[in-house]
Amino acid sequence: MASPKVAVIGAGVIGLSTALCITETCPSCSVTVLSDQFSPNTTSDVAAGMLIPHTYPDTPIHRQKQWFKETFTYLFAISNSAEASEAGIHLVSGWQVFKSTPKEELPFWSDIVLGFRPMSEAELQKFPQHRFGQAFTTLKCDCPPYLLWLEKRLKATGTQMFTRKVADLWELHSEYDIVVNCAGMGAHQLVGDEQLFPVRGQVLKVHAPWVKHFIRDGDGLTYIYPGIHRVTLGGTREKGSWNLSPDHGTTRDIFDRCCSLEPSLQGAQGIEVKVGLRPSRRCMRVQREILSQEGVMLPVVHNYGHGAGGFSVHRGTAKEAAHLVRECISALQGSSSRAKL
Amino acid sequence: MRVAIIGAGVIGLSSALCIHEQFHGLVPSLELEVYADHFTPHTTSDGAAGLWQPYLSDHGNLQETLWNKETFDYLLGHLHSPAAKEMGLFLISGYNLFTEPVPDPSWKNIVLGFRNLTPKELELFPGYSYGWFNTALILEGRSYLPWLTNRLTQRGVKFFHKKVESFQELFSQGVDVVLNCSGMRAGDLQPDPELQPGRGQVIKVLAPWVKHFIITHDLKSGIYNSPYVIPGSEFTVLGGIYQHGNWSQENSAKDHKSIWDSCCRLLPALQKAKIVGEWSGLRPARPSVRLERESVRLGNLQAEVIHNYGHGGFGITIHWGCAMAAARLFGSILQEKRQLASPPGPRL
Repeated sequence: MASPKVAVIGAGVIGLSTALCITETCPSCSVTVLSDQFSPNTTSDVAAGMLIPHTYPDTPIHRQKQWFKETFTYLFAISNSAEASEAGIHLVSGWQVFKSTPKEELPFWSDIVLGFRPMSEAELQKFPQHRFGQAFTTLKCDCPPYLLWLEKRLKATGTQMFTRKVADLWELHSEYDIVVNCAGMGAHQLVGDEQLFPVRGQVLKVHAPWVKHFIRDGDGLTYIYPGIHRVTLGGTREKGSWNLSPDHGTTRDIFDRCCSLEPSLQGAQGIEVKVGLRPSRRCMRVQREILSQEGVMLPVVHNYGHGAGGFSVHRGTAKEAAHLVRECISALQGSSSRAKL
Repeated sequence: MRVAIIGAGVIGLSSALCIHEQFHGLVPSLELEVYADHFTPHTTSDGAAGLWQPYLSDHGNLQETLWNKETFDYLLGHLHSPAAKEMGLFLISGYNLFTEPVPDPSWKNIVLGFRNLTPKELELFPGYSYGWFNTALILEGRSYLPWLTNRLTQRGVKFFHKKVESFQELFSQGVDVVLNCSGMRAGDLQPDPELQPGRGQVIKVLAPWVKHFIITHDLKSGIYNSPYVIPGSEFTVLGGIYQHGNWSQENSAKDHKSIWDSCCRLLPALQKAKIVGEWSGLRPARPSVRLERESVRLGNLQAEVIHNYGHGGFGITIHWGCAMAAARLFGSILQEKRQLASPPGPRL
């Protein structure tokens, strides 16, 4: 197989980073990205893009840690380069605060982020309702810039991108040798995965350029994440809701909760409300399979179900998916050489 | 009781506010007047980035360390007030970088979360092998000075756009006490060979992805002669110039190149930052702050001057502690003139 044709479905952070990893690990591949949405209309564009991992109950911790570490290392290098502002990657320091001391005082990722330590009494005075806290420095991927930067890198490798809603993976079998499914929430319908469910998140993006730190309540529901131009205020975790329309009562509630963490937000301007559906699963689906129908085989690599933690592990899972694509290619080459005999 | 404040930078305006807050209720006849040849946005305080951070060493000057602490605590107390945004006040964290280990500074327990940098953090800054991380405050002069001016105006303080040529000029008009907060130009009012300009130049850029201050130190070249990056609420300040004895307030192309090249080496992403301004100013440098009373004889009158100048590159850092000290000196003047209300008792 001279130039395997690979279709990547999905143009959010998972689809684009996976496509890029495939071009890096299989330079002979011809990669095409197909998606019904591109930035600024993907779920990734709603997210703040903070590198603070989500814990998946059914994925082994060592794997989650490995993927987070790879992602952090990759982005750390970009943040320290001349491309940082174009790629939308920047360091941000701040605090995770808890109303009651968490059972796990040291999360698995504490030695990967920078300068992780418990907050001092003096620092906790800023948060009178909270009794315990952690201070650290991590990275943030601002979208759209990061997605646009990935698109630019992809175009430079000759990757083509098309707006197309794929209703069935089999649509693609005559044009492509391998299909990579990074459809996020779309995988529910595309491959009928009943284990995949939406967790609705509503956020506010406001202009408050004096806010230089992130603040996150350990319950994960209330957070303030300063980006390059806007601060993301969140949020909600509505399991099972498919509703993409902003809710006004929720907007008020998010704003109030964030102002009680950071009173200066009262002066924030230009509030934009956004909604995204976190494509959630007890464990991410990063695996390959071979579909078959009437004697025809279609190798598929899945890379979806990242829920609340997509940005934190994206590069790690993209590399894993690219590795699985290589395995698919080897398998195809193996079977095609057998066919020649 | 007429009190004239010379100078409308951070020192003059904050001293005026502190005195008015403490004494206007006790001295009904108190009238405050501010005289200055430059007002915001044309003062030295307006050009400064506004980061609260004293010099590395206090040279044993514990009084100044205390004034710094009083200022930090005062500002921290205002952080959650509705006025904070208008004052230009917000928290900021960042890095101090060195090429060799140094002793901890006098202010390590004043700021929040002071710690040494980890090896991984130092990877961000090739060429630097040691450093600190801490959370401090920024108080932007461009917002703070107008805020102070508004508070003073509300309190009935009068402002006069005028260059005062001598203390006598004010005393002969009937002023009782003069607060000399004339910063760099104090020498014009009374010669002071210890007061020298510490010329600085800064480039203002748009780099909103920078969320930390980064101050590098070259112990051989001295304070502020090594690149620094300080992100404000609207733009980021790049600097690293301290020229002792240089009175020029013209931007120098050579200094521009030095700041630009060294800051871009420190933070490569700055190469893409858009330049929106440039400014030079003179830090009113002195071996120590001059904060003291001076009695001036004018014929058979005794007039009082309170000097409060020579705050170098740490005016914003120390201002409130000094304002309170100046107010205490004013209080002692009032005691001597028996202007303060006496305790209840038979009238003589």
